[in-house]
Amino acid sequence: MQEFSTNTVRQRLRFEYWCEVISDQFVDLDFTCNAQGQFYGSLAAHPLGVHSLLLVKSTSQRVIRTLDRKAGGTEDFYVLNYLVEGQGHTAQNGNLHPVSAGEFFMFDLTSPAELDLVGDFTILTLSLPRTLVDRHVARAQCLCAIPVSTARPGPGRVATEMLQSLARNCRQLTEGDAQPLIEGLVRVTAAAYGAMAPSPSNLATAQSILLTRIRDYILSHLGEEDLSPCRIAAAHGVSERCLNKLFESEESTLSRWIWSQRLEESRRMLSNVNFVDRTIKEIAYGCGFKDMSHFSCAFKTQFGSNPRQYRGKQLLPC
Amino acid sequence: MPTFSTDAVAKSRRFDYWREVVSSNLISVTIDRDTCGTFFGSLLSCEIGSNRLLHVRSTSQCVTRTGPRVSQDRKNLYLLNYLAVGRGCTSQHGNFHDLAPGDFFIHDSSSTGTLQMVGDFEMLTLTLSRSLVDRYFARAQYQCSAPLSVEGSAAGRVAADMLQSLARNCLQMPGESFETVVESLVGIVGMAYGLQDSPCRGASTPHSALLMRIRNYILAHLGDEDLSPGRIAAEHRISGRYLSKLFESERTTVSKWIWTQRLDASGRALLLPEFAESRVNEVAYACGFNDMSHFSFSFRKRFGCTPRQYRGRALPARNPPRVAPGF
Repeated sequence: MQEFSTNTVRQRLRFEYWCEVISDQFVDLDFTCNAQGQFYGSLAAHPLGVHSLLLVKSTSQRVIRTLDRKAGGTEDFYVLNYLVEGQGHTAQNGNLHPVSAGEFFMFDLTSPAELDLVGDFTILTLSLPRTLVDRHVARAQCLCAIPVSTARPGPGRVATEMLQSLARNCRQLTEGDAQPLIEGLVRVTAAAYGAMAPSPSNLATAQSILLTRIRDYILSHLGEEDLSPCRIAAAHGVSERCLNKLFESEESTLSRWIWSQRLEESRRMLSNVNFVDRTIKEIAYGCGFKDMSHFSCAFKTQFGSNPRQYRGKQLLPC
Repeated sequence: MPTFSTDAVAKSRRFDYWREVVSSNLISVTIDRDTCGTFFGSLLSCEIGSNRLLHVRSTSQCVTRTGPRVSQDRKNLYLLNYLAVGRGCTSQHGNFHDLAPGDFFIHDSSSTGTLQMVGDFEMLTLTLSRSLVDRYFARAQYQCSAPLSVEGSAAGRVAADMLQSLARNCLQMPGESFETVVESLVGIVGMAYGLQDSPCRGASTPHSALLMRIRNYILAHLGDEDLSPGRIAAEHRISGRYLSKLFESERTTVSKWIWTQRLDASGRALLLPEFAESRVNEVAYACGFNDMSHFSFSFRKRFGCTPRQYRGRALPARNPPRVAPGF
């Protein structure tokens, strides 16, 4: 864990120190100080495997992330931010939104973003790999910078309470423990986006919300072999044609997406030591596959080795 | 959302009222009580889609799901329980465990079991479908009634916070979101259970790791009618004496444990659509029984009705599950 605080720094050097520390240790950012009175800032960073969880307490400032100054290796991430205290504005992809305490929002680290906070604030930030977010949130870039309120009970509130619990417990979490927790958190966050009421004026956001909801439905029903486009369309009150069209603009077709998620699910079970008692056949059927030879073949194409070899390799170090 | 409380009931009638509420509105259980102090109980039941979440506050009592009760409502679910406050003990599938505040534990409603609470307690109970549990728990059957303490598991603490958050937020939550949160939660709890059991972690003793392997072996071979203590011992390269000793520590014998597991397996199989076309004796053979009269007799003893009657009582389809504290 890394901790920094401006407490021991002289007042007039504080802001400079703050900018330096963050740009040096984390991401290269542009800061503008808006503080009327004294400046202060403290930061605690916990690495959790590929993720890192940051708790920042500070006061009025404007932070801009510009693309050309981006530090290497961060482009594959989104960040989930939860504003515990404070208020201000977020901006990304041309969307400018007011944000206040109790709201969460995502930023996409591949495009410029801006966060302008007024007054004292506390913010929790968790970095999330792109592949994980993309599995659950459809077209996440359309949802970036949009704040989600947790004022009313619902999945959003569960997500932020989970994030806070994660922050309280992160010192004791190993990388292996953290992975399923963060995956769970992303699922719940996706559910919160899915439950959002889309504004009719913004078509891209509305589509992204609907697709997120559809993905969630598919992921919950992967194990059922009768999960068909027809059933998915009916469950969401859209036509099959419309459903296919929605997926058309994605990188793959609907059935290919289902197929790849089933493979991913089987991979999860095959690489988990707790499932060693289950046969490969049981796992494949449990993930909704009907044809074993088809499954083995697809698994090999996707992951480079057949299910049996893959499992052997994954469980070997134990 | 139904809420029940004994507050408005005269003290002398409270326990009867509680029994009535739990047994008539929820899952079929027997509730007893051996102390005579003032009784109280409150129950908040939140029903969303096919799931149900219960929040119970009450005091000393013994909740038993007996064989006849199982056959009465034939709920085929798992129940994930979190004991927020209070102490007690639980048993199911031949496992006995003490419960302390901050313990998660699972019960299988298709099987008999007991939950004994001592003193005031507060508990959250969430119903889970069998298919969901099977996706995230490697061996839920073995893990029934075994507690997962949040003391020793940071992941468990996050899961407990999540369940409590879900309980606070469930009322206004749309059904799909609720199911998603439940699924994420099951993933996390399943993982935490796995880490607790995992022989790789060194958390469990060699003794319990071996016992776990043996039980899994038995559960996987229930259908073989020649599954004998001798064969099990040979398969695990231990003596018959040592095998009996392992089960002694669980207050049962190998053959008794196999017998109970076979009976429970036959009870479950009778309710499965895969076996809907099979005759009762076919189901019994599939579960490793070879003597039909012996099977019928013990089935009756455990479930309080014949296998045919057990199967015959049709369940209303897709009703939200009814559950009682812990079950």
